[in-house]
Amino acid sequence: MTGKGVQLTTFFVPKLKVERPRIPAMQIKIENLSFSYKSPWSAPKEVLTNVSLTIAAGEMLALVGPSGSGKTTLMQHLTGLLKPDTGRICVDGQDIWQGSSLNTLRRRIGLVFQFPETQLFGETVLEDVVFGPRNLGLAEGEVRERAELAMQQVDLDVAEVGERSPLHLSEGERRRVALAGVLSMQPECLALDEPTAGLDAAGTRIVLDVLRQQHRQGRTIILVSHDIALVSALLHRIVVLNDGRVHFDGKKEDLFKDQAHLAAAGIVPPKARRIACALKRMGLVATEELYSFAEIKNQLDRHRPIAE
Amino acid sequence: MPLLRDMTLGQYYPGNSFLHCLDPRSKLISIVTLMTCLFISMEVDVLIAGGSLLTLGIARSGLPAGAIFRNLRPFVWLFFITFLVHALTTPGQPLFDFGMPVTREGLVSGLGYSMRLSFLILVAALFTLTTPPIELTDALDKLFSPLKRLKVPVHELVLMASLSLRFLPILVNEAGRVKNAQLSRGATLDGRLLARVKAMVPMILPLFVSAIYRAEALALAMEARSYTGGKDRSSYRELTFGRNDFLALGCSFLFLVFAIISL
Ligand SMILES: Nc1ncnc2c1ncn2[C@@H]1O[C@H](COP(=O)(O)OP(=O)(O)OP(=O)(O)O)[C@@H](O)[C@H]1O
Ligand SMILES: [Mg+2]
Repeated sequence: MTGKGVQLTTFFVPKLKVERPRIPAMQIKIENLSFSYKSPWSAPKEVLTNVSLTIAAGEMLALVGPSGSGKTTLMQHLTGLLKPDTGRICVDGQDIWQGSSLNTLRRRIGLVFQFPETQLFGETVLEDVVFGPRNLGLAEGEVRERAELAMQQVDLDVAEVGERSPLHLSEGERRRVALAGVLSMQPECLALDEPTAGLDAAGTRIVLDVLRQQHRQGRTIILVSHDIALVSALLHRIVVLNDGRVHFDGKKEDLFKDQAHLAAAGIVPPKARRIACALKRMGLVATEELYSFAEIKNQLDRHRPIAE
Repeated sequence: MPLLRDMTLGQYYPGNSFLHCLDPRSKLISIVTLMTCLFISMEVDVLIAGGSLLTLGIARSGLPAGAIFRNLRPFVWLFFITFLVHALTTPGQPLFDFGMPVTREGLVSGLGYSMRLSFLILVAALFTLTTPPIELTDALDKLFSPLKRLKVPVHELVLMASLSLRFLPILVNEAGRVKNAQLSRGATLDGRLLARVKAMVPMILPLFVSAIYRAEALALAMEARSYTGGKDRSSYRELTFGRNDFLALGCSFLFLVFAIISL
């Protein structure tokens, strides 16, 4: 855009539109999706059964469920890496397998795979990170800028690791490189498959900070995780997948209230909440809906008898 | 990677059929004999007899037909070209003329060669599907052990071969993962052939690199368990010859004689 153009638009367009970050308007709707992996070895077994899910623009939700429940499979459907046997996936009302190209879709939904560190393919870290933006056809300056920003977001120093081979980094560092590779594309929606599995506390913090920030900027976040404590501290809506079916979809408060539900899906409520329950029974806190030790501490402080 | 996905060579399909239970040595010898016969003899009788043996083998293997026949898919072009070349270049009684005459003899020999090729592939597939790699290794090791006297590192060579077979599916899997990663980051893998080949380059390189890393890790793991080569190594499973093994060997020997006579 030339300087002139910018001035003109600022002049004519109401103020509201100018400064705000790009607002993604991506609604994802999964309708009655069923899928089975085909193999010559065995009869197909249904991995996803009649899954329906609506994800609003700018929403942040968690997908949890036991190992083998089909979380990864569902994520791969989102960007058309797998094709549903029956049912469909609509993005902004348009079936992704009809009409517009999957390539465009993949630029809008950034998918971070499970253990993405095994999928780095660049010769150097920087080269891997710029792969996405280059495919977007951006100018070299902007490509570079985005890559540096993304690496900064995941706390990697471009000068230090940029020219190194990804194979010579630690697993945790490689995970962050992979994350930066997707962030640098600045997609409207981020879908992350177990982004914190196997990371240390600092690595987990970095990833969570990135997620919060991306969410604040208006991006849709879909987070797959085994760590129920982590997701319940981070967000409100939880979808439980069990044996390829949506077992629960709603607010975390409702999920933890229903013991039978929890047991069936093999979910243990987070420690913080279990402690809060006990404290509530002892009359020390007012609610059991506490999902981190910081929240518990806050409540306790508030309820502490004045006499003490 | 449609080609690699259809190749089930090197993969084992568990079962306990007649073929699964054969001693790998007799199975290997029978299979090599069968292949040799199909190679040396051009006679229709041999083709029919080989086909019947193969059909019998497939029927008794307890394998789903799809698992065996899908191995043919990557070779369809080879069959087609073989057929075409024979049909067009064999002299004989012309049937049609497409600039070059297509002869009756050409059609027959093209068909024969394509069938022979597909039989060879099916035989190989049948063998690998019913033989766990470890049994194959044992069999090769035992059969070639006389060469150890001549200081041929039989055991090491066999180990290398079996490891490569073992790693093939892993590499295929890895290729799929890298491809998915690249697609997810806006790469386009379709388009013209040249563009597709170009897009393959950044994928193949990391595959090689990761294969080398894998090999290194494997070597380390083997060393960490104090692996030393073949001499004085005992094995967990002892190979034993049974009645069926003699039957299989007998059958293949008869077939060989038949093939030689019909030459
Ligand atoms: N490529 C594949 N071919 C055949 N079956 C598969 C394949 N990938 C996964 N499966 C099967 O599909 C089911 C669901 O797998 P999926 O990877 O989606 O589980 P998941 O919920 O992501 O598990 P985890 O939490 O362990 O990552 C499993 O039973 C698995 O065995
Ligand atoms: Mg998974």
